[in-house]
Amino acid sequence: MLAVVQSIRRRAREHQPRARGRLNGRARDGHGMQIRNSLARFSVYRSVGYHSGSLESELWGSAVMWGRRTESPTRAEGQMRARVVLGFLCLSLAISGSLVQTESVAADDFAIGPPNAGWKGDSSIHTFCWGAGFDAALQNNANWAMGTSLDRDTDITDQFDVTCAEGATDVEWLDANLPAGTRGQYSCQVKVNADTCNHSHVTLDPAEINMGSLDEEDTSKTACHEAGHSVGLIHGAAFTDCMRSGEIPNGLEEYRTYNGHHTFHINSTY
Amino acid sequence: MIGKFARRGTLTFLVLLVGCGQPAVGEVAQPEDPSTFVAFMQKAVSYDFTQYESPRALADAASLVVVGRIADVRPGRTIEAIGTHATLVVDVEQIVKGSPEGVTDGRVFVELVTSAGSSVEQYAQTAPSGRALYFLDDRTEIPAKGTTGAPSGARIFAPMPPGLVFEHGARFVGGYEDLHAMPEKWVIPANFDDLVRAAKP
Repeated sequence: MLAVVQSIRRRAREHQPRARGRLNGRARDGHGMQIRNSLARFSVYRSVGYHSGSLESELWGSAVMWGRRTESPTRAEGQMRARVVLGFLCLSLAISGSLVQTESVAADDFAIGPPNAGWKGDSSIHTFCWGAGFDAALQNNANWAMGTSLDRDTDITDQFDVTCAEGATDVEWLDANLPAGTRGQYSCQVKVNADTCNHSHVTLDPAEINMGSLDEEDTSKTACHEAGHSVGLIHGAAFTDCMRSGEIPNGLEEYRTYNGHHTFHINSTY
Repeated sequence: MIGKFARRGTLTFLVLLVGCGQPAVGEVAQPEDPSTFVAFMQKAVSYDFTQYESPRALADAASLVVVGRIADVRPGRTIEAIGTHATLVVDVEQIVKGSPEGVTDGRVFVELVTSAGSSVEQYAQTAPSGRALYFLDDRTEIPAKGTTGAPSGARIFAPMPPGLVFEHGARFVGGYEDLHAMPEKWVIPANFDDLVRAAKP
């Protein structure tokens, strides 16, 4: 450690007389690179608890690059400039940090329509109905998707329509023999525009869903999955809620609801 | 004067040459890039589907697996609670798995769901010219209405959700599903031919 401190002190001494000369070179570089250089050096100095005039020169150099003055500063001016630059750096870091945090919540597109996102519902009131012949045994699962997964846990409000009105009811629930390996299907039947759907069909295939164990939970999961498509969710690489494809790994409720990422998308749209 | 005639002749020759290279009236040159066609597939419908761990496992669950190219797109059947379909007429180049009885005169007939987002015309205008790998379920016996888009007696198939994969340059791209979100064995094949080999029983 002592050797490192001595080395940095030696470099700082060598570095100080060259400070102004290097500023001219810096002025031709990008501002971002200058700030990063200053920040990197500051980190080195701080790591060994060393503060010197060379640091102020460095930070002063960053201020000079804005073109306010070219002669050497007084010590008081240098300290003030240093505070300004440090404040700027801290603000930049805070902003970039908050952006990174936001990215992790909403890194993918939403509500821009297919194929890069799903069809969006036409309002936060999401109406649904039972289509002709919809299996009564599946109604509990559809009710779970509309009433619990969407209404209870998100800003969507579900509303049951006794009759299905094409062009008015948002989701018409159906069941059918779908192609092998297909547990549920969502399709927009009447669109408002390129990203918004007015009337959609959700079709479940219990024969495909009821394989393995946890049939009831699996059916609610697929109902939640297709209801999620009806408000704009797509698959992506999310495996921690009902938007995952296929069988659920266990009976936990998280596989019949939407995770924070998907809930954020829904609530920020409706 | 000779030079003038020579220039006119050259120009006429070039016009004829370019004209001969164009498709006939009513025909549309098929794009090589499947991206637009894939986009229409994804606008049409979204699925929850069984996760098959590998191309081989998906092939085991399919009635027929073929490699082919789309030759035509026609209006297809309407199946209650599922929707109206477009029928792809596919020239088969290779049967990967299944009986040749599913192939009629070198072709298979594959129905895709249409909806407010995708029509038969849009599928027809964007159908790619390249190869695709089809993992198919035999849907001939499903009650349906309307024209099949296939000759009498031909079997009608539907692709399984992750089971329509287009060759795209040196790689491949899933039709309904992003194959990079599939289990690991789906993204191991380096190219389309490796994927076909991985699907073989």
